[in-house]
Amino acid sequence: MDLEFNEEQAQAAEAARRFLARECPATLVRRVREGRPAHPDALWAGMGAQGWLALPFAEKYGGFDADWVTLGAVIEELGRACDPTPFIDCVVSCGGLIQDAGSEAQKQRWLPALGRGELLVSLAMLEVATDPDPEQVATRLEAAGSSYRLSGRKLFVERAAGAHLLLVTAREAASGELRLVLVPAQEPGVELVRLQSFAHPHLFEVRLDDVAIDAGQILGEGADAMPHLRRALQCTAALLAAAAAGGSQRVLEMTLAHARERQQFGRPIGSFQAVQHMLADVWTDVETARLAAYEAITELHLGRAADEKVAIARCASSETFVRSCFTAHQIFGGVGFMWEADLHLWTRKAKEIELACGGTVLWRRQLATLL
Amino acid sequence: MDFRFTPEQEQLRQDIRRFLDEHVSAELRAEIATSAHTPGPLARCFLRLLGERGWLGIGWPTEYGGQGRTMLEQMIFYDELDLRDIHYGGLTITSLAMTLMKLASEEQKRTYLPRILRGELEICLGYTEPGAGSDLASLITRAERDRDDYVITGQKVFTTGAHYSSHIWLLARTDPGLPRHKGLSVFIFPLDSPGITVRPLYTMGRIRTNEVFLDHVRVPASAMIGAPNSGFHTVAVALDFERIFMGKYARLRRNFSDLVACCRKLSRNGRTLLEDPVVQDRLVGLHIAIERLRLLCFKSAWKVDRGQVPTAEASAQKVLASELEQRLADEGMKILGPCGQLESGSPHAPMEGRLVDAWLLAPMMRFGGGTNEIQRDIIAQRGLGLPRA
Repeated sequence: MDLEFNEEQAQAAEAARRFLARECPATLVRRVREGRPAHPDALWAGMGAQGWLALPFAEKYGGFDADWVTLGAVIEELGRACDPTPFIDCVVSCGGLIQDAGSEAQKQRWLPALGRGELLVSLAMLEVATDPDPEQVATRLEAAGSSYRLSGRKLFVERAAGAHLLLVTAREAASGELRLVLVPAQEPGVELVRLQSFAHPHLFEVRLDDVAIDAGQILGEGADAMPHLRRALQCTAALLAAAAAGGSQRVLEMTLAHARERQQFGRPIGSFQAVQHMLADVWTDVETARLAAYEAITELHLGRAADEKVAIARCASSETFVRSCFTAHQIFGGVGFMWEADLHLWTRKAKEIELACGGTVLWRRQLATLL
Repeated sequence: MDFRFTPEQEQLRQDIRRFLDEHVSAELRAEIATSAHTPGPLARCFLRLLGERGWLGIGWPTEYGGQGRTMLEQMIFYDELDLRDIHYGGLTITSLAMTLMKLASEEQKRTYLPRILRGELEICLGYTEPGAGSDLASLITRAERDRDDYVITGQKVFTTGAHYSSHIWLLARTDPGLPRHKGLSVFIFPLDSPGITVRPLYTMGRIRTNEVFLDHVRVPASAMIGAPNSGFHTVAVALDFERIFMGKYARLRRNFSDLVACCRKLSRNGRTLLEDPVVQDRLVGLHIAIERLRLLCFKSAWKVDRGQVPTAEASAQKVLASELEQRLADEGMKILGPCGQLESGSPHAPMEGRLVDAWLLAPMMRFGGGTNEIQRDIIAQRGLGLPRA
């Protein structure tokens, strides 16, 4: 048993923290949230230069073949910084799917560009009035001569307007199997409708109306993509847990700092037992959520059937992030409620992460089936 | 990072299981089931067997006849015993003996440690008094020097284990002139010393505890642990050893698994309880919480093995475990419906009435061994560095 990073992982975390402290201040988080700009180009380019965007990819695609814990360590830091980038969606979910399900030619074509930060891909998986379960896909891919037509509606697609490609899950009409289709976001027949979310600032509905699809846009060579999608969702969930663990740690630190400084009745409010006990509970929550996240990530690393640990990590860390924000607001009081205060950036992020990729209910249900 | 036990640690678990399979008789199991937390004759016999086989010294350094094993290995051992509710001497082994090694004189070590290791000597804690609970330093039991002896007079309460232990580890005031937590000393002496009266206190949670009256009990000065008036420090050392063993997850995990098994078996309205989504979600919530506790237990033990003191972790373990035990018992009963209230031995009692036992014992788990409020103070002040009020 070893419950801490090895040297390489510790260095990655440390470097990420330093980089983000410099390049990703709360002012930037706030500006991106307000859409000024919608995509933090300089930060993203910097992350590319750090090699982060290619961490999970094989070396022959310009990647670093990083181990899962290193990736988790970087993502934990992104969560701490409340990062306004599509890192998990673009690199972990979409990049992971291209690497797992794509043909050699597709990998050669897309992964190096993605790793350099030149290609933005958004996952278009969820649909109107359907379950987050990936089995429930109504979007149809129909053969039309030697090519295909794609129709359907996707919801909660992150940053679709800024993306180059949408990675669309669809059911092939003939086989009934799942396909992963790369669709240029500006293609005729693709309509993007902005959704107004308090939590995620850049969510879209994507309406696909008889979009022409070339066989080369379909990942892989005609095999059912469901196992790949399940695997990608699992990895995404485990790494979202790391981001939530990082976010909640940061919120705890901000709250502790405030509790030490803020004076009432002639002494720091952090000396009051009522405040101390709230913080003690947040600490316990955060500590265990982080352990759960990394236990899940190491299971992925070992290539084990990680469903149970991932589900636990996903649920525990999201609950923790939201709860730590609630406590933070209570202890900060009016000062933390102000628009100008940074705390609500993390509060919104907590909900964003909880509801990302179909939300945690999917994983609670997964746990129930494993009981 | 690696959250797994090593093959050697897994092997140790198998060895312990095999030992227990071989030696825990049906009679002993029956005795445990009805003993209400007081070890019966077979349990005490088994304690001596654990001693004979060297298991009681699993965590003791080899120079004191122990196995010198790591905290993770000890955790495996105690988990396996807990799963079968085996009495292993508790605090005597895991906390007081360790404190003796650290603070006692050579003569005291020679007197007590070998007998503890053989399972012959058990010690109960004489801390709490009617007027001194969480505020232990306000205690008034007096130990007055009289030539080579001390003469102790006072009253202790909630002295759990005093009716089956051979000795008491007692905190008394030796110098009333000093500031209150500076004038205290710890003594160890036999419970059959003249002047001691042990009276039972029966509780709502089946567990029996006691009050102990001390009327001019004469003990030799050599019964004192450490220097005069160093008792508060001695107690703090003992508490540090004790705390890591206070919040454990093995029994919780077992009760949870049994609850799930029950839900799979019992049917209502044409489907099993486990098929009810409301039940499923409650179970999932408990499952996640127990996993959090397990990880925290790993973390504490791992830190000890690295030479660190898991102060906040151990207190958090105690808080999580005790509150989760209550929640598991409470939600479990709700899930099981009216059957949930049935006690062991009754027709239709699920899980041998174990949830009922846990539910009734739960308040004590929360306030005992340092209340959860004190534990949260420790997390906040010693763990997070927040200022004292």
